[in-house]
Amino acid sequence: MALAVAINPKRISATLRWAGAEFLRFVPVALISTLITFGVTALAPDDTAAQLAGDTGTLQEIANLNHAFGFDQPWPQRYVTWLWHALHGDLGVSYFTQIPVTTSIAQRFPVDLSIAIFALVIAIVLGFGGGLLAASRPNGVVDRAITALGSLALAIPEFWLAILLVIVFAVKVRLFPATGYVATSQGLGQWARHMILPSLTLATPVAAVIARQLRISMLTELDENYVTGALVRGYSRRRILFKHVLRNGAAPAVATVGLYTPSLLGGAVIAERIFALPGIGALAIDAAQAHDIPVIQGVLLVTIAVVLVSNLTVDALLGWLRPGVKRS
Amino acid sequence: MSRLGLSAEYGTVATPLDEPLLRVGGLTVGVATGAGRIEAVRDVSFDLGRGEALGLVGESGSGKTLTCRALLGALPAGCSVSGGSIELDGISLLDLGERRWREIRSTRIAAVFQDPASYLNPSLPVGEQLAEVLRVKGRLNRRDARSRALDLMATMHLHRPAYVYQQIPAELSGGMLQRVLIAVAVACEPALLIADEATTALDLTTQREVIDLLSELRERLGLAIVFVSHDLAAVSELCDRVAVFYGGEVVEIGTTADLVSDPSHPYTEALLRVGSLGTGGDAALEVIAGHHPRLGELTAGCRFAPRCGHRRSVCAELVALTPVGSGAVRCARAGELQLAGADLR
Amino acid sequence: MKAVLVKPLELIGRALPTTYLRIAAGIVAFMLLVGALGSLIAPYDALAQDSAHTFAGPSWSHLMGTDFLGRDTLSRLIVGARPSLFSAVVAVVIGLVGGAIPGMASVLFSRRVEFVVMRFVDALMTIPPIVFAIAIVAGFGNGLPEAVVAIGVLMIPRFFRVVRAETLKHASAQYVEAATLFGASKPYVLRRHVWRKAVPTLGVVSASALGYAVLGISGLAFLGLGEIAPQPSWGSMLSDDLTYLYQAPWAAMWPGVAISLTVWALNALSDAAHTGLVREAEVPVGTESEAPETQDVGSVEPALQYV
Repeated sequence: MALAVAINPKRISATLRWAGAEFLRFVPVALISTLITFGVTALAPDDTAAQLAGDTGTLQEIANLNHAFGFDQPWPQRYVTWLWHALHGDLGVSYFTQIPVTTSIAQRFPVDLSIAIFALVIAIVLGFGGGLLAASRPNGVVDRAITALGSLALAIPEFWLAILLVIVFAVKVRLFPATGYVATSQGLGQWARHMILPSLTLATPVAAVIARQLRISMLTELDENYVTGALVRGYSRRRILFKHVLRNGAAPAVATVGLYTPSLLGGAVIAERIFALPGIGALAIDAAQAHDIPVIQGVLLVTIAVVLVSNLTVDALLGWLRPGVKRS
Repeated sequence: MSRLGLSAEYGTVATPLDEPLLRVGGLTVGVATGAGRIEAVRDVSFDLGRGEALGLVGESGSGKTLTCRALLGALPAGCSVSGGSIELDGISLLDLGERRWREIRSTRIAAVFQDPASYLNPSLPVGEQLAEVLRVKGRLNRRDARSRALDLMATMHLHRPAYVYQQIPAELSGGMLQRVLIAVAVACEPALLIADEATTALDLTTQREVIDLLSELRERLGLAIVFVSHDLAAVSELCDRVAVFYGGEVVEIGTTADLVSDPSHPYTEALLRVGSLGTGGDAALEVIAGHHPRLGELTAGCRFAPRCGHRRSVCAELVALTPVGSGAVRCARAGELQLAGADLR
Repeated sequence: MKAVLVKPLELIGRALPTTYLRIAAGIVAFMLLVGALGSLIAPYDALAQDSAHTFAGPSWSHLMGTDFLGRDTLSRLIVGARPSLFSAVVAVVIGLVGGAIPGMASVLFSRRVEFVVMRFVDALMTIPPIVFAIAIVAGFGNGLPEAVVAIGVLMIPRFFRVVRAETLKHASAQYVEAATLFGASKPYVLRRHVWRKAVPTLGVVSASALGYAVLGISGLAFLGLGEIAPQPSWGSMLSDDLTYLYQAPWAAMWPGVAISLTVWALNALSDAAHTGLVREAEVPVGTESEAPETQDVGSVEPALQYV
């Protein structure tokens, strides 16, 4: 009988059902976001052909260029072609530099990913730590301090925080470098030194939200009857807090992390500007000013893909933490 | 050596077998309210022998739940014991530190409550939660705990224990969950089980089954039970003795048979007439005029006096618990009154 | 005259019971006022350059000093309030209209339509606002309207979800059932009864959405999107300050403080409103439960507010 308990066919089928439902949600969302991407970029008034043809271009030359770029095709067809190529790793070629978009992005995206992931780790550590601390003695000194700090962190614009950090840590104290990026291949220590300020900047507001959310849900859970039940069974407070309450209380905070992935990636763009990092943000802004559509599309697509992957991960985690809860 | 097959022993028995397992003497619990400190439980006394079942009967707010909480060391914020004594197996439960409480809980004293689903972690399989108490308090290893948990669930008459083991609370019925919780409670073979409205939220058939289960556990394990309920019928079936609560006091206590056939307190008589207190009674048309006093409405002297048909001026004074027959009663006019008993069968 | 003032002041006094909240409301009101009056109250012309007095520190003639072109910082700050704040308001309106109405209507949709709409909202949530704004600028050119639309559209999901949740919560109330039994059509019932129940929560979300929009718009301005120099806005001022950080490290204080104060005040008001709503909803029933500790409960779902 014990063996029957160890292998659980019900859990397996439940997991499969969950995977099916996730897929059913994932595909439409992915399609729609790519559609939005395409719509916003490729369907906007576009005079690229005219620009490329220059002042001396004849109408015929412009028409030829339009055909070469495929602008004269109906948009559903253009969308499908574009998406099809993208799924095969071909994001097109920059209108102006002729460099394949995939190459440009592949060179630069790891920078943003590094910042975002490092920031995520910091945010989780600070956020969960802060939230737990605040919840352990509600309304105590620590709690109020953390709550106040959190409010502050959520009000400060990231770029200002970055500037302040630079002033303090790079100009006055000279602990961390103010600008520049060092790839991990050139030494983890150097990479980390350059990553700390940008990541800390991005992590701060996210940590604040996580801490706040965790505090609320932990306090709510602590009021539940099963906590009384566990106490009456004679479990230690530590066991109750970490094995039981946290499992239920962490879920909203984990969901929050998922919701903040887009803003982490967006913030990376800002951090690039401040800390002079060679990421896709700079690439995208230049491309925006030049109407270099394929680059923009590529950047958006890659960003969305990362967000979708993170959403899937978060959903899986939530499903494991709280198997009973139906997702909206 | 134990009847459930556990081999560990959980502390030595401090008192000889014929002495009461639990002694509650003059227990008083004060509650901090806006209007000052009020004694929500006053001068509650009863003894409980090993393997004996005592019923606590009373309306909402009569102090029976608070008494249980005091027994468990789990009084809500704002409440504290202001007088009296509680002794379990010779240990005073009133000044126990948290560490000592943790030692006693599950191993000497355990509890089940109303609304079983809410007392389990909603995200974990119930079997795991049962195995947990065996691991943490019973010191079994993972494998043994798991198999012992399955055995326990079978003992509780849960069909297909392996299936039930894997379910989370939301997937099981109230009756099944309560059985699991009872299993959790008795897993480490405590001497005393507190059942606070354990059957109230269940349907009638399941109620019967749970009461039968408790009765069976009493016999097999020598488990002493404090059974709190609205339902006099249920109480009389399971319990040897009954304590009637009113306004935070014990107004009458005695063997079930005596209490039912020959009550000494007007409130007890009224209860018997009503048949059942609150949900489920089919003689519900009979009511006791007035309502149970809330915390701020407690009178000095006899707390039942405002609703009592037999009150006299002597009832305005504080009344003590006086022995009568096999039990005791708190009524100034106890000797004079001729009260009618009932037949609960 | 005095009688006319007393009633509204009373109402405000009751709505904002603590000093903390009054300060927050005061800040918001102050900022809006400054934004509205703009160049009328600025001591100098915000665009007037003075190459003789660049990077000046605070002084009596220039209370906040001057920037790298000799322009008065205080004036630029004042004039910059309008684009920073009012465009945020427009963005929130876009989000509100685009989100709240479909949100409420969504309970009437058939299963399929509902599914598609929900996926659409999910899709909007996967796109980072800043990257989206870059894309819109790429397609439609650089300018404030483009930036505002970008931020506004991406705020639709939060309004949609909150209003939908509120509608679902209230639509199952007994009186709604009764109304439909009496023959009222569902849209009518929603409009007449459920809508007003959703308004308070909508207020809470709007306040924090405003804070978020201010941050978003200034962030875009910082990157050079949404404003054309030399028009000042708080975000673009910070961008200049960054460039000249070594020459004038403390010049970056002013726009940053302006943004932070405004956003903090908006969040504080939003949180307080939410706590107030939560307290109202949790009227203890029966004798047992005491009202749970709801100090500083925080946002409805912070996640909804800071996407």
